[in-house]
Amino acid sequence: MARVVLRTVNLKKSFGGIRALDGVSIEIREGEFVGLIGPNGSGKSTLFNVISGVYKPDSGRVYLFGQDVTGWEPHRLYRLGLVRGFQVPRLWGKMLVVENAATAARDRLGVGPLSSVLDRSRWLRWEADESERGLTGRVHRVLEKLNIFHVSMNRASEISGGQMKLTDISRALLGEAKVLLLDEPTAGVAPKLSRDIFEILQELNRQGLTIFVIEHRLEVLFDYVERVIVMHEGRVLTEGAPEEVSRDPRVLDAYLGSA
Amino acid sequence: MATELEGILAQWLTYFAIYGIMALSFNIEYGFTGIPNFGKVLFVAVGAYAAGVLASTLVLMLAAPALGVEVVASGEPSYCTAAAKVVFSQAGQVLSTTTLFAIFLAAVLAAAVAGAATSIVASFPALRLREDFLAITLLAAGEILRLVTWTSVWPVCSFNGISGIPSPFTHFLGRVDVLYAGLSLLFLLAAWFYTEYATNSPWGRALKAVRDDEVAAEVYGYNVASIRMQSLLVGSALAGIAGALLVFYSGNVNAGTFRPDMTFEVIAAVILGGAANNLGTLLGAAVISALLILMNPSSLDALGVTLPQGLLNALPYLKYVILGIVILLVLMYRPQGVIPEGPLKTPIVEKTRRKLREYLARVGGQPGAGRQ
Amino acid sequence: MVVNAAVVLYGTIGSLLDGLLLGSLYGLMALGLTLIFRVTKIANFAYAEYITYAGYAAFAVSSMLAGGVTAFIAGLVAAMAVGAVASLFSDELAFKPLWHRGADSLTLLVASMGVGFVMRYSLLGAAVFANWPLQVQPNVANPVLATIGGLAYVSGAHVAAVVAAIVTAVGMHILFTKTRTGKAMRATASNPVLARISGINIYYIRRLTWLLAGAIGGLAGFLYSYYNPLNPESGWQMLLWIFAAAIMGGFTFYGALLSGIILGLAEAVMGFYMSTFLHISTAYSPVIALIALVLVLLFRPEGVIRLETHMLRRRV
Ligand SMILES: Nc1ncnc2c1ncn2[C@@H]1O[C@H](COP(=O)(O)OP(=O)(O)O)[C@@H](O)[C@H]1O
Ligand SMILES: [Mg+2]
Repeated sequence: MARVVLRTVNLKKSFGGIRALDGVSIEIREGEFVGLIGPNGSGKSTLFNVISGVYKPDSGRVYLFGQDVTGWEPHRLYRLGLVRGFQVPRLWGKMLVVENAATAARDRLGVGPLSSVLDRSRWLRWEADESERGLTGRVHRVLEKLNIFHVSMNRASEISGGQMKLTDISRALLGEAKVLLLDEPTAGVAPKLSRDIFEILQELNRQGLTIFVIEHRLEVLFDYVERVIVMHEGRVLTEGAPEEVSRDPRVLDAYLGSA
Repeated sequence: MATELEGILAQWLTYFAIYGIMALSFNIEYGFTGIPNFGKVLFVAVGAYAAGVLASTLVLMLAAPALGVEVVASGEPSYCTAAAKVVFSQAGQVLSTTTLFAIFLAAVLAAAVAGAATSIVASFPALRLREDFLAITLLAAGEILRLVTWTSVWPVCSFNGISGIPSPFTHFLGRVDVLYAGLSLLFLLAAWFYTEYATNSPWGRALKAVRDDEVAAEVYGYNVASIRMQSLLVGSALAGIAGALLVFYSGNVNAGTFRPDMTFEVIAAVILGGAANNLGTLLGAAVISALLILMNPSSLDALGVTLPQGLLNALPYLKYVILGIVILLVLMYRPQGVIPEGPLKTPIVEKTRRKLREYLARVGGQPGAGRQ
Repeated sequence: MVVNAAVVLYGTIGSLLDGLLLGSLYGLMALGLTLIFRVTKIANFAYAEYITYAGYAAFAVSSMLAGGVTAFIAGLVAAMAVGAVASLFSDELAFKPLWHRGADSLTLLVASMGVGFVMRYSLLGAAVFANWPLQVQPNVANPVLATIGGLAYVSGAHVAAVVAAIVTAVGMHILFTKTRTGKAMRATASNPVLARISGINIYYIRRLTWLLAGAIGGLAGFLYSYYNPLNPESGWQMLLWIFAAAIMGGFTFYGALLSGIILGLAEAVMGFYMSTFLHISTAYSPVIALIALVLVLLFRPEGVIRLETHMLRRRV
């Protein structure tokens, strides 16, 4: 069996009186494509926020590639290969869409008050993949694939909600993760495009990327993932293959109960 | 008359250079990185003090023995003594132009280093506070530095200040003010090239990312604390250089110069010209420095404008009334400034623009879709 | 200088009394700043100028009168009216239009600096233009009520400042927590759109807020000038203390008052000891406010003394 790349142990996180995470332990193995579902407010986004270092857990631990990364700042996790998207896109609003994508891309040069000037020849040059010119090709490919190339020269704050979501995803893809977390990638996106997004994800997954995705369009999700984790009221309710989970009466209860 | 006009022009260019450097530095912090460094004058003052102290100490060391003047200090810095003033005024007799220029350059360098070092202290709050509270804290810190240095003989001779620091142009005849304007403009040019290169780069993108959404910046691998730090470090080094230029322009360092009004002038320049736009920033600095120069009884006199005495007396204050009104009008009617922020000048933006144009021509799309 | 025991004793008492006066005034001033911040989220730098303008108004009105009780009342009324009007005007002309355009808190802060500049330098310009005296003081006597050891004394201003500060703080607290108007103010602060839908006239509430805050500033300006001569930069010079008090108090009313008193006492007492024993100039005393401000912001940004939240929380 493939090694475990992401593991959480008994994660807890409260906001005031609300227990958003109440002892969550999960395991994701290398190369898996896992879905995370659960009714609204069940703590899915909070779990992603804690894993990616945006929030610090009250207790419990997070392991990435076997290393204890609990409480690490997000930029260090990015360096290890963890990349995430946001449920509500957090774009850099005054920058262009293409700049948003380029800023998120991995292997960057010239990020520094001196290297930007002194290392100019290196970050500008044509050949290398990480240079500005190599970057351009990578960015354009992703923007075209997500069908937002035509707004690439618009400010990120001045495009439609669906386009913002896609820009957020483009950043996540350009982050060239080893483990990718996506929070409702299809929310607000046209239905036809939802499947396209999952096709892209599936293709990346086949190339070896580990994907952990929150999704509420279960009919789409279940066609692609191999395993589903269900959360309810801050806990893992159950997990298993899509067809098992969809037959589990507790899952239906959880969804209905919260409605 | 003509020479007086030249004088005003030289004065304006010098101010433009100095305010331009300050504005570029504030723009890196506030415009690009979103750090409201409303303590700008603090870093300018630190630079000025460092430059003033180093230059006057060096001049004393090099010139006093040759002139046979004995400088004895008791409790105060030696450059605050009356004997030191004598040395300063006669230093030209024993110091060559090369030496004077070396002193000047050493002082400018010291100012940059001192400004940058101070920013490390300032970054402690800057990395932790909410924007508006950070602004209040830095503003207050600048005021306190002024009050303390105005009262204490260390480091710059309290309210007397250090005066008579010899200019590098001591041996030059003719329009020394024009020469100094040229020298200051050289520094502005260097600051401009540096800022343009440094910000139109992946670093510039990182700064803007931190400004627009720091959580997303962190998640995409940017160490936000360190990027803020870098921004403050660069900004403060530039501010220090501006302080040093101010010192050699007047030959004086006086704590009273560094009022929060100076910070406000810089903020006004950047907001008027356009935040996160280096060219706009310079334009703003040009306008604000012109306002500061023109609203001066001596300049008006030189221009042949006569005003009633009462109004002339009120002029130094009226200029700030005008400045305040300008700021409010810009914020209300053109918050993005005269030249608004655009995309960074990087190859990826250029290539995308070109490719998008071809793409739109192919699919017959609206040209408006490519607007910035 | 020989420091003798009596000087130290009575000096300490005197500085405690002066600190209490000054602190009450800082606290009183911080109340208005707190009110504006609570309702409109503006860290208002122009607030200092309302205080200065009010003091000048008191000077102008009272010097037309013969002094005595009439001058006192006329000065007080003029100060509060001018403070309130200055405050309201600055909102109507600058802050409200910016808020309508969706300005963020930093933009509003810069705007408040702009308003402050216009006000302060207009006054300075006018003072120079019209050749006013460098310092002014209302034509109102400040009777000495008691002397202690010939050095420390209690004057009318001491009593007035303490009483006014306490009464205003209690009044503001009750207004904010117990009345319909206060509830409307809180609703406007937390969600203007929702407040408007639920039938609150948010513009009326906003105007009331600015008038009230300005009047408090005016009252403080009058009381301050009753004791200390005023110059066009007096308000500006106190602004750091006012902000420090408001922030230490976590932008609550009782918290602001108590913090103001603590700061005032710290300024006066430490100033006295430092100048008596260490021969350190009192010019350094604002360092106290800055250090307090920085420490509070870094380690307890929600404020040190928040006497009201508990109540608010319990009521919810
Ligand atoms: N930053 C926050 N502050 C306060 N409460 C929060 C915050 N984030 C999430 N919550 C609360 O935690 C619970 C779980 O939220 P979330 O993780 O977003 O759920 P999901 O993504 O499953 O819909 C909800 O009750 C939500 O209101
Ligand atoms: Mg969610």
